[in-house]
Amino acid sequence: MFEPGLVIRRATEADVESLATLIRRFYMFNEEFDPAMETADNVRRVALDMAKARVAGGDLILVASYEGKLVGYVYGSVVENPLLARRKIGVLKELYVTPEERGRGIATALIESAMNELSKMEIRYVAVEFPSRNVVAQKFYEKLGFRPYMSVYLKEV
Amino acid sequence: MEGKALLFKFLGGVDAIPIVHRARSLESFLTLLEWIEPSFGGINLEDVESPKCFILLEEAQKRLKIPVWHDDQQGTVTAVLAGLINAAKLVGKSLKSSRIVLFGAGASNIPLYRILRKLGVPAENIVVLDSKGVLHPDRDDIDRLFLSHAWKYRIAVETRGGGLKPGAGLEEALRGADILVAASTPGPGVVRKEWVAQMSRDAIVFAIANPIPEIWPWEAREAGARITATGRSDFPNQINNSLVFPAVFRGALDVAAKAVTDEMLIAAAFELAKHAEERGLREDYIIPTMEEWEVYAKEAAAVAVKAVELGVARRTTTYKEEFERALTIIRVAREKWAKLWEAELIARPPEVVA
Repeated sequence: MFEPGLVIRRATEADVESLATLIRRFYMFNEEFDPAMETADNVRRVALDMAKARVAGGDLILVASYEGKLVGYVYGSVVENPLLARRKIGVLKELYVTPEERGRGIATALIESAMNELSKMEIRYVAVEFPSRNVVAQKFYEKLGFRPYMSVYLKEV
Repeated sequence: MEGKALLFKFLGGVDAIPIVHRARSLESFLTLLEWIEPSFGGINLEDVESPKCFILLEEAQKRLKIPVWHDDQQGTVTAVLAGLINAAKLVGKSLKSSRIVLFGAGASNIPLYRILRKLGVPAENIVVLDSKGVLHPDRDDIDRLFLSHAWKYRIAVETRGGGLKPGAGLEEALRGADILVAASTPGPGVVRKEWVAQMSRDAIVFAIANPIPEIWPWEAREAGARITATGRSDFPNQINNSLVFPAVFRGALDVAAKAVTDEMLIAAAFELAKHAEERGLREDYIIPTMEEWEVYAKEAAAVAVKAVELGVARRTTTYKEEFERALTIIRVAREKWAKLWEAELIARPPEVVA
């Protein structure tokens, strides 16, 4: 489903500003599903800082670029638990594709590329996180063969 | 609903009865429609708000094998389109190459966008605005629309905001525009004179909010608009659903149509426009009035023939045959009414002049 003109690659410093917009969009998207995920007032600035830190840091941050424009990203990291036989798992925490490019397999391509990258690090399992109420994400990941793994419940104090 | 049933009969010779019910959820409403389907040749939905009306109509049309109609969508769109066809003709512009602004993304402008696209108007020539501004893929609430309003979302993505910046309002959208169709909130003053003044030469301004148009027609003309239309019967160029639904149902019922498609609406709109054109287009006459009752038979014939052509009719007919049949049915209905009025058995409705 790869289209000519579509490139999936690691994010670089030149991507920071566009990436910040995508990160902000991702958080606003999740906000739609759960009021507990209401975004902060200064989300613009924080997203920019976050984008900078991620590009400079060691976590996995891949972007989809279409005809030179950033149209999506996936962000993940490696979590370790030495008590487990498979002590390292990959966790994909954020995924976003811009409205104009949806329905063209870009999200799938991003996930597949991320899985590829993680498998090079001796990782056997990859987990994805999304709000429980995000049925769009749930359907998408189930289609890609993911299954329920951990549950996180929330209560107001 | 009773008033509508009366208009169905008087203008189209269509027997209609109101059904009120307690189905609240989409699914229960659809089930109700499926259960009563065998009793009727067609169903007219009333009082369903946007955006519920879109999913309800789409689903009902999928499940039922009779025409399902929502006047705020199909009726208004057909009347608007008829008016636009003639307005464009009169000023010598083509819809396909016009810059078209749809202000208000509700029951009538959402389907109008779809119909304009079907007529070959490129998406980038169209700008659609809701109360928050231009529908644009970079709008902050775009993902809210993605999840809750598929129709606005699709328009935002397809038109890409018509080349405007996200956050642009009607003022920016009207700069250089050829056509404005405002179906938003009652005016006056919702559409400002100085914004209309920024439109292109020979601009066309339809302001169809009721009871008061978004801008008074004389204000729009003072600002340079050449043709104006409203939803009101006391101004020229009334965009009136009553010109449409009785005739569309007449034609659809006479061929036992399984559906009323967009193509049938387009056929009805062109027939309405043609009737006005044959009588001579003027800036204050781009669309027939309800008094020109033969136009209903013409529209019915155009709709019936299109249904046959599309394969959605259970009976076949020709234009001439359906025209004559519809003309007789409507004439008889009107004559019965006239007799009842003459005998003073029923009161004469003030808004209908026989």
